[in-house]
Amino acid sequence: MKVFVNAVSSVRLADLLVPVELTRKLRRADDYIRLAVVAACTTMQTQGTLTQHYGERCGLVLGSAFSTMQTNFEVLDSVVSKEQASPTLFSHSVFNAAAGYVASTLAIKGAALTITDFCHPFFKALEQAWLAIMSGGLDSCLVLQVETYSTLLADGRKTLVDEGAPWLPGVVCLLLENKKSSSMGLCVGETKITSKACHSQRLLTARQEVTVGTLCQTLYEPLGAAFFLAELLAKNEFQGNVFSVKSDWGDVRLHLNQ
Amino acid sequence: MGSRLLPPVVTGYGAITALGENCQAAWRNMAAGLVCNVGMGERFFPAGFTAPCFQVPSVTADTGRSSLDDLIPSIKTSNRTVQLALLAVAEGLHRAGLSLGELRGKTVGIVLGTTVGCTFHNEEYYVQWRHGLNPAAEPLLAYLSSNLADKVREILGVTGPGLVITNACASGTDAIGVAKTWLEYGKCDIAIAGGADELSRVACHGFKSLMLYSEKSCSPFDKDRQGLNLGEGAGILVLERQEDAQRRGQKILGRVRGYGIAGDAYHPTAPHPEGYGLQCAVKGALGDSGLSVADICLINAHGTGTRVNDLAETHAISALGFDPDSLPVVSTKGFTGHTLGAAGGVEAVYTLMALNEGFVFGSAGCHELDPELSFPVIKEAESRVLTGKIGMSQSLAFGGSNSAVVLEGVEM
Repeated sequence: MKVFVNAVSSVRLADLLVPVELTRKLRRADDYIRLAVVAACTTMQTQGTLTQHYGERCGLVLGSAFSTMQTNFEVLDSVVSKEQASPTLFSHSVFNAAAGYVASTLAIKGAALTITDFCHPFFKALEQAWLAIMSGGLDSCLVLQVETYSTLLADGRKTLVDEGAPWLPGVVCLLLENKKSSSMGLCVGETKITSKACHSQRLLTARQEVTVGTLCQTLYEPLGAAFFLAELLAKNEFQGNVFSVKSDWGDVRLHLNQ
Repeated sequence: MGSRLLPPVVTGYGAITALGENCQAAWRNMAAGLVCNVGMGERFFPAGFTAPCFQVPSVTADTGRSSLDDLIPSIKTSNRTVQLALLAVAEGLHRAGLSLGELRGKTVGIVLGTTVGCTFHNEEYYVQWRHGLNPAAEPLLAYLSSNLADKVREILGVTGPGLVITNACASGTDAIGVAKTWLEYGKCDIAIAGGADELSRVACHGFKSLMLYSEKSCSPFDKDRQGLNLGEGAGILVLERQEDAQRRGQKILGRVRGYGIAGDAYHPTAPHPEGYGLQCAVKGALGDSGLSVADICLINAHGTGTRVNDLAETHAISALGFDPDSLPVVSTKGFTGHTLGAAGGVEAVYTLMALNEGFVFGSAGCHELDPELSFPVIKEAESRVLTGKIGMSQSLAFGGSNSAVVLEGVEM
């Protein structure tokens, strides 16, 4: 069994355009859900085989560091204000709401897992998706990282850390399949992820050193490594066969082969 | 990746809920028919609304296990979800005969489900920030250092993979399924898997806003049910490969035979009316275990006490071809409340205990079955001697996610 990356998309919230066909579906959705659904649909469509993917053999694994934090605070706001909570806001504040929207939009009926982790959530999601395909549980699986952060978090960062630019909300999405079906078609090997304890203030720097072939880059946001990988894949500029991330909270080694 | 190994065995389990501070107490209280919820007013709900919650009466740091005394300082200083998780873990490790020293020589996978445990819900910090003040940073830093799996791993002092699953009410079941896969494919030597969640004002307000919260003690599958009650707790399994457990002479307490997960792709909060995704998840779990519906002698249902859940779930069980004359279906949420991300872990533990005892108690709060149910459920006043050793625990979640685990008990 082999697993291939056959499609990819990434977008920042500031650049997000909701396609007309999704506007009704997403009319009450928050930014977090809109990012997830639009990226998932774009990823499927770039491969041009949207209708072939739905069903029980297709799954999705969504990772996030901060998940629906902003929507959670909006619900908390009504609680501390002694007001009735909005049922829509509450249901959207549940961490797997976005996965539910993606699944219902694309009729994905296989495994849908949501993972919340400050440490490399995209790569942990990728690892689970890879395992689900390698073990024969799925034929294809979307892997997403979505981040919208929150105003409270941004203010906390300003107080506690002084390095790095503001974190930009966005999404990264890959399509993994058990067959090569696009010119991208990189074969995914096992992902090695190590974790180590670090002071929580270091997480607010989000400092990660990414190395791919001869390329080295230092990134300062939770979506940084996933975005960097997605952009290399989209431009067909992936060099070598290892994508590595080093950080204070652990390291990642992802093997990708032509 | 190596070839798939045999399904893991259970060598330990632990649970803490309002029903009991450990498994033994919970079983004793189930036998006594105790329903230990307490009425909550404005502390948890909008003004003018009072309803029961299943709150763990006291979270003490005393593990009662000398081999795990190292955990006590950490339990005292952790947040409530981590405390609940650690107490269940301590019970599970004690039952598994594993000291912290022994654990530290192995690769330990930690997979835990939660919902509230992943949120930053410090109200004092939030209110100060909202009023333009500059709140002290400690609560935010504490949140950043409290990822459930990482925190438990750090406190246990072990190494190995960790994962927090936030699949709403199915999180604990999915955590056990992921841990099973990890052991089968050699990602760890031992796995600690299940779920933990504390009561939260946001969740209480939220379920009230959805009109899913019962003002009286919840009564899953009863004709007069009004909805769910929230609870808190933790339930975990300690899983190993059979040969490893045998090598250290440890008694095997059960097996995780199969796991299935599937989506409804239907609605953000409501299950598919016919339990489509649940049917697929159960078929998946049975397929994974190499068993059939005829092998199952007990189903511990999700059984929240909401009308849509109870109807969808019993429809799915019926459509799958289980025998209504012989298969006992129960819900334990009348005893524990809905513990959200912990529910799958807690219910897996209670299912395994019933399989090992060969006996299941009826569903607390269920006095007269809703005639619309497609499959009969064991009522509170009833109980059943089980005819086999294999059962299933199932979970339905927001987002249309459904999961099931097939568990095998042993002769005790």
